[in-house]
Amino acid sequence: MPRFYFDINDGRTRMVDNEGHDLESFEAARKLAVQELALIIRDDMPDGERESYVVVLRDAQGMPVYVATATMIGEKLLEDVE
Amino acid sequence: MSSYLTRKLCLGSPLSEADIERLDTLAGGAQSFVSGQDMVLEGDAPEYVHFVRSGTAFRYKHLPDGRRAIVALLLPGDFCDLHVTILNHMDHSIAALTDCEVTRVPKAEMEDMLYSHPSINRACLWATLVDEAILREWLVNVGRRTADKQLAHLFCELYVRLDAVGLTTDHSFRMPFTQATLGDLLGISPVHVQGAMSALRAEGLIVLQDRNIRLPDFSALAKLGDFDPAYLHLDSVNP
Repeated sequence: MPRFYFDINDGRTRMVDNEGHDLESFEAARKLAVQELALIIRDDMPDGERESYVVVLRDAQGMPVYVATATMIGEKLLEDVE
Repeated sequence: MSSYLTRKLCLGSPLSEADIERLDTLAGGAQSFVSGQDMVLEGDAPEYVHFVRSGTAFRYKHLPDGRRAIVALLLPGDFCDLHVTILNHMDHSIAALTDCEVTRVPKAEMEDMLYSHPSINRACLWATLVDEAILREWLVNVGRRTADKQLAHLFCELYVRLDAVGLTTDHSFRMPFTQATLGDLLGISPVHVQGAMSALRAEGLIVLQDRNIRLPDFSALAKLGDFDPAYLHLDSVNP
C-alpha cells in the first residue's frame, strides 16, 4: 500500500507529517485529507473572524499531490450587536 | 496469585473463600485468539460466557460504509458477554485486539453459579453497571471533547482500570493500539489521532517506549482530559 503524508496548517501552527499513513489509493488518502479538515475545525474554536485551514497531501516521494483548504469567515450583521 | 477475574470482582463485592474457590474453578479451560480474530459475532446466540484472562478484546459494530466503531475495551478480568445468560442473541461483535486468552463458561454453569453464590452475583451486577458507566463516559468523550482530550481521557481510564487488577508498572502499561484502532475507538481518523498524539508527546504527557505507554504526570493528563475516576466505582467495597 502506498504511503501518504498529511501536513496541516491551521493558520497558527504548521505540522509536518514525518510518519505518514499507508493507504489503499490516492482516493482513500484524498478522502482522509478532507475528513481531517473537518476534524480540525471540530476541534478548533477560531479566535478571529477569518481562519484558513489547509491540509497538504504528499506522496511516498514527498511530492505534494493534493491540497484541501477550508475557510471560516465570520461577520457581524449589525453594528451594535452584543 | 489470584486470577484477574477474582481481583476484579473483589472490587465489586466482598467475596468469601468459597466464592473465590468457585471462581477459580471457572478459570479452568482457556481458549486462545490471535490479534484481530472474532470471538463472537453480532446475531450469534452464544452458549458460553467469555471472560478475558490475558490480552485485550473489544466490542464493536460495523457501519454499512465499512467503518468500524469500537464501543468497549475488555481487559484481563472483564467478562465479555455476561448478558447472554439473559439476552438470547448478540447485538454487537467481540474480537481480540491483541493475542488473547479467554475462558469459556457454559451458560448453564454460569447461571447456576450466579444463583448459588449471591456475592458473586452481586459482583457481576456491579461489573455490568460499571460497564454501563464506562459507556456513558465514552459517549461524552466521543461527542464533546477535542481529540487531545479524548486521548487523555482514554489513557487515564485504561491506566486506572489496569492498575486495579495489577497490570501497570512504573506509571506505564502495555499499549495495545495502533493509530487506526485509536481512531475507531474515538470516532476520528488515524491522521487526526497522529496529530493529537504528537501534541500529547510534545507536552510530555505521554511517553511511548517499545510497546508501552508511560504517563509521567497522571494528574496533568487527567486535568486535560477532564478525567475523574469516580465512574469506575472502584471504591464500592472499601469506600
